[in-house]
Amino acid sequence: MTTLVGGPRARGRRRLLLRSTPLTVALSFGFIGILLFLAAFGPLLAPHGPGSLNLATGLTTPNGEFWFGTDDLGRDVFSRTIYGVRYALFGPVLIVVGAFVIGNVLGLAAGYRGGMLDASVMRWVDLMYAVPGLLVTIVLIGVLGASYLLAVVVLVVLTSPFDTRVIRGVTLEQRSLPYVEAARTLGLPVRAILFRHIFPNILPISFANAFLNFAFSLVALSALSFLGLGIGPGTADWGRMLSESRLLLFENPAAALAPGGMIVLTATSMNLIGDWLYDRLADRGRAR
Amino acid sequence: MRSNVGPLRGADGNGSLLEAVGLAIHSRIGGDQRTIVRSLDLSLDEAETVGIVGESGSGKSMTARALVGLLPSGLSARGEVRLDGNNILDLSQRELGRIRGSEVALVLQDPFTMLNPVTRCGDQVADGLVDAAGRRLGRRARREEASRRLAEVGIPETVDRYPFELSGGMRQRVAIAAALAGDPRILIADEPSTALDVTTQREILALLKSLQTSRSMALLLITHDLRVAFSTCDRIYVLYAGSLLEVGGAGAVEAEPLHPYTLGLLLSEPPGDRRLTELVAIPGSVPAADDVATMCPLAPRCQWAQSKCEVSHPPLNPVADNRLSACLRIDEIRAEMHSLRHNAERPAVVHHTAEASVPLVRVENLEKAFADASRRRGSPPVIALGGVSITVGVTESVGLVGESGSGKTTLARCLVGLETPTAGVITIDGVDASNYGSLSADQLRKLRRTVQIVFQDPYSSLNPLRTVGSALKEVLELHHKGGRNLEGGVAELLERVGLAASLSRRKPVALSGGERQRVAIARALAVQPRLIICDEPVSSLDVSVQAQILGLFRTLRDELGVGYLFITHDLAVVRQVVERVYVLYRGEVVESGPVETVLDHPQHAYTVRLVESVPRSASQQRPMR
Ligand SMILES: Nc1ncnc2c1ncn2[C@@H]1O[C@H](COP(=O)(O)OP(=O)(O)O)[C@@H](O)[C@H]1O
Ligand code: SF4
Ligand SMILES: [Mg+2]
Repeated sequence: MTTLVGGPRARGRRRLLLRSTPLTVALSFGFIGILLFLAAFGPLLAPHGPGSLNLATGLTTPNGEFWFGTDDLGRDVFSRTIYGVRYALFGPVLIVVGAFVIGNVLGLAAGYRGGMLDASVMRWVDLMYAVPGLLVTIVLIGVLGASYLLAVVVLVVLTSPFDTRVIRGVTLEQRSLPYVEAARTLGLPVRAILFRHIFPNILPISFANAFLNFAFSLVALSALSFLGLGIGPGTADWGRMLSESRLLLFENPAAALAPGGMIVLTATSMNLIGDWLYDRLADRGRAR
Repeated sequence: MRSNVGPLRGADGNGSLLEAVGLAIHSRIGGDQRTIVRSLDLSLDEAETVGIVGESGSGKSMTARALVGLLPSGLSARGEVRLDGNNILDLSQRELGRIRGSEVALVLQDPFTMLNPVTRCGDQVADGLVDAAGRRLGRRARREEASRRLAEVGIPETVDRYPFELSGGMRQRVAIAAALAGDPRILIADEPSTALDVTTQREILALLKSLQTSRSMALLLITHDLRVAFSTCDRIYVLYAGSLLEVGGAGAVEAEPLHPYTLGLLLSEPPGDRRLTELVAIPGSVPAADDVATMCPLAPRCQWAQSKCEVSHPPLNPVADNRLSACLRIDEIRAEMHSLRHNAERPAVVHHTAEASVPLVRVENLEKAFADASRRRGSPPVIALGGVSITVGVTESVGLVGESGSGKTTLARCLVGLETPTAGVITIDGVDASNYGSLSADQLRKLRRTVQIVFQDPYSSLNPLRTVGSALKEVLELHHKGGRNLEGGVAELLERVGLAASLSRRKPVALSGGERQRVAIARALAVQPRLIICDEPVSSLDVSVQAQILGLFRTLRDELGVGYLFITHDLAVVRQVVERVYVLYRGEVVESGPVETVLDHPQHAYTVRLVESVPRSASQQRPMR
């Protein structure tokens, strides 16, 4: 398929040191597949409840019954890690969808319309690039009180400038292509040009960008949870688990390594997939 | 095979300098192997100029690269390429490196790919030079030598300048000087002038030819343009879908092509000196070599094809003195080909629309300046149009010619509202169209239905994600044309432009360049406009397809009475389609009038230069020396 999108990589995207190779991409897809499966059926598979205390057992190291051992309250780390998948996917998905909508609408409008609208949108984007995002979030949540919803909203606002900038860039590129100019001279309404013609052509880029955003959002949300600024205490959220078990690192390392490892693996997989999508699109643009 | 090459040696006949025997080139992508060149014999003598002519994809460039052992990765060559008793195909990279430059040198279409952007032109040329004892030259000597070399290609003043500071033509000159630095005996030039302006094209070709003569080197010129080959070369090889179809002396081939494909190519390239009654075109487009492996490659497109043409691949056979042809039926059809050409080259009378014809478009003192984004703020704007006035009458066809950068496209874009002029007035069918932004919806609709545009690049003119049918339906629906039966409307539009209705389910990727351009024309026709602006509509198409599309423009004109504002840099093309022409130079109209008057008796110095730049064959003009 010929796709007109491609060209230079959008600036401002976060890159990972790891290169996406066919093997790592396949592994990433496999891993995300497993996560989705766990999100759907995890509760049926987990041997214990996420919050079931077992004070009699107390802290244990990995064994036959508790594969990853238990934490100081005797909760099964393995089960909690599985339950945590839902939180790990839910929050970032909300953020990604929110940023996707805002980024695409603003990016399309600014890129296509140009002029004052473009200037104001880009000024906002530049401003958001300039502020130290996570720091502002921490201060904001610290002032307004810790809340998961608030964390999600703030992160939507923080990530959408990235989407906006990327989408505006590719929209500008598309706008000057003859197929769009032909649509303009034929008198098609702006709505039709934007959503019927340009949007489907840049969709793959938005999509690739969403994967990269996911990785960022997961790490950011987990960090907030870790700092106690996200989800409430006791929840089977990986960031929260990591923070609550960090003192157990010597008694039961698995209690901290399991959620920490999952965060890293999930973020890396999403990043690799997003990276791979970008590269594929760039290649397609060149092939004719 | 070998014996076929024998009688075709150049005049002196003492063995060839470079000789390819059974050269075959294949590409391998993933698991599948594709044939690029099937089996080619070619010879090049001392001081001879040989042309390889063919449309895009025929394998010309890969042949050139194989001859110097420079095939891109993924491609491999078999057979023999003999130079000084060596087979180039067997040499190691080190040995090749020694031969390249000193024995054979290559000049490519885009000089930027050959020049180092951060090295001064003088150094590009003189870097590898050594003195008689084989020592590298000292700084002073190097500079002197570089100036001398650059003077040889006509630009001594560029020694201390960087390639990006030069125009395309000058850059190509530097590239040529750099290629000649090692004093090669053979220069291979792959479309050296294609990326340049018409007027510059001619200069580069003349330069190559004069260098070839003064240095007595052999020149292998690769081109898609038969006229260029005729005017520059001694002998010509015609390549098509990876097979040679005809070989012969340039003059002889021009006088009488002995293969239907060569004839088709010749007739597809409209002559610059007259308008033809009928534009003959080879139907269809160039196939892949593997698709025509067991038949005459031209059979699917040849009007003389018979069943015997489709059962085996015809070899190149001697058919006359020093002539080879791969047509099985050439003896039977020779007379017919001759009369076809005779009829096709009859000039037509241009019918002028009455002078009093009502103007449909009137442009008065149009100015357009662009802020120069590449330079610092406050630098003066680029003046693309400096007060242009033109008119196009109802049903009239008007040409707009000029080199690239002269403002043709800007004028076209202003007319359809893709740019807003800085000053001046555009009136289209009574509506003031100087500023599209200030028009009412009704006026806009009226303008859209009056003027449409067809762009140059057929590959990006269509939305890659939408089928041909949906693209056309959308326009029909919007303008309430085609009534309730949209499917029928789409089929009718496709038929108008010579496409099968079944094509409506395809996406652009499944269409050839020519088919895409037809769809773009159909889309413009969907609003039933009275004028279509065509911005270089055929210049990115193959010659044979170009002739088909030009023919289509003429047919549509006769059937629908639609007029054109036809923008092109190609005078031969404009002559076939329009009655009146404006010559644009640096944003100003320097000459205008009936097309024959302007092209046959140009008055302005620029028009004279433009007319002279059309390559003419030896029979029309003495070779340029
Ligand atoms: N969008 C633009 N911004 C700046 N300069 C432009 C722009 N479009 C065209 N130009 C300049 O205007 C001049 C005329 O260009 P154009 O109309 O494209 O000429 P042509 O179609 O004859 O090749 C050139 O110098 C070109 O560089
Ligand atoms: S061999 Fe047959 S198909 Fe081929 S060019 Fe000759 S007549 Fe045409
Ligand atoms: Mg142009």
